[in-house]
Amino acid sequence: MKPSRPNDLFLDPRISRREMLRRASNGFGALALAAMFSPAVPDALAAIVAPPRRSLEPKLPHFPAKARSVIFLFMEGAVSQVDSFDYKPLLAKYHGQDPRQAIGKLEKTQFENIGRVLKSPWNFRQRGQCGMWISDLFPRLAERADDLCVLRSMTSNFPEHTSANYFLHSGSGLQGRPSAGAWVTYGLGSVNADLPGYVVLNGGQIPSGGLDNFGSGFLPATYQGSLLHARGMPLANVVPNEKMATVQEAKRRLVGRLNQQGLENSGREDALESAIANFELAARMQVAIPGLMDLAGESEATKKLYGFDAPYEHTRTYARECLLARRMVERGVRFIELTIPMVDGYNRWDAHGGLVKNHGDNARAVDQPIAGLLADLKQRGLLDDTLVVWAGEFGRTPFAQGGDGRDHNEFGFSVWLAGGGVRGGMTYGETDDWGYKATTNKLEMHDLHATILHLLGLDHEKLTYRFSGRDIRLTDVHGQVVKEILA
Amino acid sequence: MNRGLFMPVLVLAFSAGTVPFSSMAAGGGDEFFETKIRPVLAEHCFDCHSASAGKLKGGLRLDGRKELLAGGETGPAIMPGQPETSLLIRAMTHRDKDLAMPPKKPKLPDAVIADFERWIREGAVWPATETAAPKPKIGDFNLEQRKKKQAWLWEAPRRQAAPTVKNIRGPLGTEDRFILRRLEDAGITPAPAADDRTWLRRVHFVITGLPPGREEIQAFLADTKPGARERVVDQLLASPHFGERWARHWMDLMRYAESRGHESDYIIANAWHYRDYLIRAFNDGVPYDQFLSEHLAGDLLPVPRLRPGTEINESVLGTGWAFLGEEVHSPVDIRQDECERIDNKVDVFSKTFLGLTVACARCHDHKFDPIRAQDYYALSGFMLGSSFRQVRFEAMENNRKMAAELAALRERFVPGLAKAVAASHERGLGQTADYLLAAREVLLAEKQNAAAVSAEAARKNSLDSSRLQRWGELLGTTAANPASPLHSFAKVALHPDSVVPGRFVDLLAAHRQARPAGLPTGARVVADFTRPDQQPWKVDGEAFGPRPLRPGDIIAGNNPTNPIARVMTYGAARRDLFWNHLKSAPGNQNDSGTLAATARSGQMLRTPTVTLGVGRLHYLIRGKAKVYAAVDSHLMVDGPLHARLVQTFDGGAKPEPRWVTHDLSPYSGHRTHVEFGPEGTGELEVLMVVESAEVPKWQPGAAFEPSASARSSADYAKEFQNALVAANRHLGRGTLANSPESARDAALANWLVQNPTLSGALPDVATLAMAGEFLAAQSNLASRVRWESQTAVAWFDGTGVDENILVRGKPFQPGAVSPRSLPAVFAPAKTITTASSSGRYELARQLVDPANPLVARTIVNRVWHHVFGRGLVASVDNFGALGDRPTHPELLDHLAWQLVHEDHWSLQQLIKRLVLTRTFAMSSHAAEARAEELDPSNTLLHRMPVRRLEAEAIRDSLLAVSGRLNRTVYGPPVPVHLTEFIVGRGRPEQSGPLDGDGRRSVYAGMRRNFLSTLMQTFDAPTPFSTVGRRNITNVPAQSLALMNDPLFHQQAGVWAERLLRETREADAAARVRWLFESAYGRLPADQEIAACLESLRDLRQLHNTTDGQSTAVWGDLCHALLNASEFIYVK
Repeated sequence: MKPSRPNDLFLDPRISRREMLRRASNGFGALALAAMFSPAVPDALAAIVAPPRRSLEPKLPHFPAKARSVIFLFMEGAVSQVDSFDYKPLLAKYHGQDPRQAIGKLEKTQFENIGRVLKSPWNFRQRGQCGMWISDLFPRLAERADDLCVLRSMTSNFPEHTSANYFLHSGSGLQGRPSAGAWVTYGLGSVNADLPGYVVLNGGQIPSGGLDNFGSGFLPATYQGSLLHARGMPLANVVPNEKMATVQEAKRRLVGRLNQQGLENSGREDALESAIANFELAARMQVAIPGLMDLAGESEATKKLYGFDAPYEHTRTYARECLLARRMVERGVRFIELTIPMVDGYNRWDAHGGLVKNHGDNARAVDQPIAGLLADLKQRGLLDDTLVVWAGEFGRTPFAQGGDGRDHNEFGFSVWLAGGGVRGGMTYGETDDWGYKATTNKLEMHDLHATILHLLGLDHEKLTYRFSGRDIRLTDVHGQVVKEILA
Repeated sequence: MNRGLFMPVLVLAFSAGTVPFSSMAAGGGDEFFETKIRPVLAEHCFDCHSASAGKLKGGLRLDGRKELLAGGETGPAIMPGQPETSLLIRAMTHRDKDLAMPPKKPKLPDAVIADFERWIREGAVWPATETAAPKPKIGDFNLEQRKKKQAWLWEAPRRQAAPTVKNIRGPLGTEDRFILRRLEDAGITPAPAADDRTWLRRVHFVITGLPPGREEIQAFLADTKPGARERVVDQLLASPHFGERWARHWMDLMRYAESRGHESDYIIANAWHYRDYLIRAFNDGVPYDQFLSEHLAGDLLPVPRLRPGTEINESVLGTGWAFLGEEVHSPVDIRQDECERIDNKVDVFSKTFLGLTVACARCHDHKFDPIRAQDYYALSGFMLGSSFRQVRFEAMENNRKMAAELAALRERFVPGLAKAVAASHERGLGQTADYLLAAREVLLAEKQNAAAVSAEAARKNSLDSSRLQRWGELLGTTAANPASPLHSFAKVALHPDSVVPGRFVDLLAAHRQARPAGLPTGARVVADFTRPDQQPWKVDGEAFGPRPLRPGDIIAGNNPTNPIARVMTYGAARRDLFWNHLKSAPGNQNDSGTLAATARSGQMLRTPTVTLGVGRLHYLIRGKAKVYAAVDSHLMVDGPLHARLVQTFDGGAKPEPRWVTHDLSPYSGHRTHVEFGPEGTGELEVLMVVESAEVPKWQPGAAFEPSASARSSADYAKEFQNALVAANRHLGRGTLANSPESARDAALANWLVQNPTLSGALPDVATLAMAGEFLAAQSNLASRVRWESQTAVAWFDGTGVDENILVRGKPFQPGAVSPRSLPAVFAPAKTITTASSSGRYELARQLVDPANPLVARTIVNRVWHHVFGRGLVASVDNFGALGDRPTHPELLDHLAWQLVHEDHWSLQQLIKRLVLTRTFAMSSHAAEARAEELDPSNTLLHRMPVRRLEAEAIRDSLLAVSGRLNRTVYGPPVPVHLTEFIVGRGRPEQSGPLDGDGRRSVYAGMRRNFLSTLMQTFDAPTPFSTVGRRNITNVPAQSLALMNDPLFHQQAGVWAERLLRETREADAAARVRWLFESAYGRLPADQEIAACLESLRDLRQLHNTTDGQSTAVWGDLCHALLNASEFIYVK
């Protein structure tokens, strides 16, 4: 059964602004309380249609949006652009030569262990109708070339993982700033009353820099990413401790009565009212999250599409994450981030040595699930308003680190977007002949953020939060929407 | 075009005109110009092409339509309607290399160029204000104008008359009058008084963060004598829990954490001493001016504050805050990284103490406040002039005293010992020349004849044969020892040619020429301890003694038969081996990374800060040193990139020092200072730090050289003997340092005491006794030294650094120097010029000057915020133009004035005044519905707000109510209980107990990347910068925690057991009353009792029991009571 997708206010012409305001400002009030204390079945509460919540209630975008949700496939550790989406035949020609001779002056790298020019071990081919060059590293994903919009001229400001991860996530290289997912949820709220607005599905790798990559920084904690485990208990405290559900219900009844009494004692008090609302939302989450995670209703064909039957364990893990991501999109979760599985013996995509095995294994884990996700979203008509973002924190050098690895390279690398109002089957921007530095239409992280916000109907210059007397933005004082890629 | 028509309709329908999209979409309108065109012109063009341009380029101005049409040397810049032919567009697209604009920079984004094309196509509309406002420049900043916008803020708080009020019922404090007057003016009746129980619970949470126990409630209710409330307040302020509560508030400002975050979350060793320092400071009632001074200059106060009854230095602990932020290991751009760290320190400092966001001025003058970029960099200098250390705070005061005693002891004994030693040498020195010449003869003789020559020489001059043999041995090794006073004698007189008549003079001249002279050309002296008086003496601990040693300084040894171990022949910073037994106390943490600050604690010497040129530093040292070059103050040294910053060097054990080279050439152009610490237990002397491309050859000139009239070995020997006798006399009289030939005399005296047997001297009994007495006194002193100490994070003061203004905040664009100072807008601001210190002490003095307009206001506002839930200035960290305006400006000034002039900066007194006001005692029910209408957000305080407890108070309440609270005060952090949701790189190996050992939350471990989920859920701030006002959110995760967190279940069970234990005979209703009173501080209403009894019946049924004592049933009821809102809210 396909759950009906919750409506965003701005897409639903039946709800007037006045009605929206009325709903929002009327408080939780009598309706909810009455339902809570009715002697009927405890689940009577679930029948209340999307009770407005204080901070996560849906908000209007600045202008009509193309995308309603974002799925962020974070390729932590940094995928090599010259082995995936940025075809550079010259590398083969100069393979084995001293890059200082062939390329010229080199920037400092993290390890300063500069080897030879290194051609890609993977063959490149033209794919799809569009004829985009993609390597054999991603055979299944390459079949979806016509859905992809590859940005080949991305840059970052930081060559170290942690700072670059923070930068990619929050637009700042420092710890403690709100993550893009938090900004988006702050800007748009959530249309699902039973799930958090920003969810991080943990596939095994917690990125360098830790949970602060998903933090809400100075934004209220409401907006921080909720870390869901793809297996086991998905979320802290979401599984009742009581052996019997009836015991928790009995307690909830008592708490409801005491809270009502408290409300009467103290008069109308917003804080108390919303605490009561949250109490009930929490109760619903205990149902909604296990429901989300339960894949029994998914067909075998669907699971196969994602790679549930793949021989490689990590493909299966990532398949599960991707399928869960689709299920969250269906449920209206605003921003979904997937972390990659802990591929054996390897440090993320961070191929300082053993490029072939490192990238080969990591790609094996994610290739089919991502291709399956795109196909599934498309066949369900969800891709049009779901923006899929695939990005690492930087790229890798076109020359070797030591013999068979590649060092960090923040001067030019590829990320791609799909669905959600971007043009498929196109590339934007270029690096130089080596895939080393962005040369044409150079992009900064802030531009990527500005564009993502734009697709969601948010003006990155207007999405501000006042902290310590300053109006702060995700894009700081930078950022240009990449208009050329908009569908 | 479709979109253009369609979009405004949608936008207007759904955003009710918040976005002026209509004008944007209309193309060439004003809005489009102002948002898309003018800013680009201003940023990229006006520097060279406007009225305000320093030098107009190409005769072209782009700051008006007229000017654009007129154009410059190459013709009109635009042709309205024809972007294709407009020069401006051609320039922007970089089509022609010669015309490419902006010059030498990448092309502007295509989107921007498209905007310009559109603007020109649509007529190049330039709105009425013809001349564009130029980008603000430093020169344009008008301080006085800025000040005027908030004139009151920049005046020192003045004494305020208490306003008159009409409606006085009962006692009314001064503070109440300010509140009441505003309410009366607004026509609002304040809320009635809260009942005693509500007031008691409220005041308990405000002062201690813990709920009142049942006994405390009973005692308070039973105290019917006047002053009962004051007595409660006094008790609470005297309780150690007061400090725990208020220290936690302060920790939010200091972004307190015990690890460095970033990738691997390295620990900040021993950070928790700072937390305990805070708790003690609040509990001990340390006045705020002292508290602030300790934060800024606790290491520099002339008289440090000691922990009462001990010698433990409290003041120095206050400086630890500077290093509680994030640190990156192995950043590629080390200087950029430093800028971020300094920015964070300036940010924390200015928000916390000044209530200003100075960090806004990092890239340009502040947009609104009277703060210039220059002011930001003036504050940076204070942070740059000091570095990181682990300080031996427990032992340092004791050791400082012991060091003084040691110096006194040596002063008492050493002259006498030197005199005795000199006297014993005196007798044998008359034959020096004879021995020297005889030894020469022996050494010059054929090997097989040596014994015979020796015997003959001894006989001829009646010399002692074994003594002669020692002379021979010594002289034999001297040629290879340039530090020996006999080096030139060995080189010249032992030369085979020296026997050739007349050759002696040539040999001597040649030798003199061979001596290396000065430093290499272009060399720069970073530190020169050979000239001790000209060198700022910056040390941590006593290990390098009270000052650098001078030539001629006498060093006593541990051998009573040779009590003088050494006479300094050159100036040097010398490790005093007396201090060799310093140890780290058990349990003290080692610092992360290769810097290993803990191990170096108390035995460090540092140079002034310099900016590296060629980047090759050469150290002239003797012995082994562990050296840290603090380039860009990078301290989290670990990983591949900056390993060279921390290195061990060995200057050898020979008498002469040696040059070793620290290659820092990759850091050329970066700022650094150098810290020397000992390695191992041997001697260490540091003479000089020099930067130059080549290794210097210079050595301190101490060797004996004969006069020009010496024509032969015999002349030489005679002169040597005379000089030795003279030096010995100076040694005996204690005049070595003042003698006309002090360097030579010191060298000779040292040579003498190092080779006592050459003079045949034997100490007499009296000397032995004196030496014995000295050594006994010294070891007695050693037994009183506090060798072991905990260490804590602290500032290590360096030399004055004045930072350059960095253009647009970019480290590679240094501008003019900005001398250290408070921002110029502050009345007491005076440039601080001291070169021998960071200047933090002077800064602290300016801050606590009563004329300072913001320091007192900021802190009283913070206290008000914590007592009443919102500051008089709601934006507690920002009083500036972008902050909130004070709701009661006169009250703010009254409180600030009172704090400084009447309460001697006592925060306890301030808190006491506030919680005893009638305002604080109001109910949280409004007196009338009108009040809510007239003052809907309660800014006038017509009632007390209902507040959610902070994360820590929620958890602490839970423990207090269940009876599990472990009231132990102070100590190392309790590790966080790790769940599967606390994950990431550098995860602690050990998980703490679920209940955190029952300790208060302030003692929970604070690993930056592994913060407690429960605390985060309830809005404990992420520690990255000052957070004076926490978010208060309502999120389902909070309810989930209350419902399902194992800690709440566990403690509900503990509470139930306590209930059943303490109320054995009571019936269920009485138990419910007991529970309500414990959890909420009040008794339940009848219907609440009824609801609980009903719930108990249900639960018994569900648990299938009839047992009235069932802990399972009561535990569930307890858990429900903990879930009710009242548990986490205070009225």
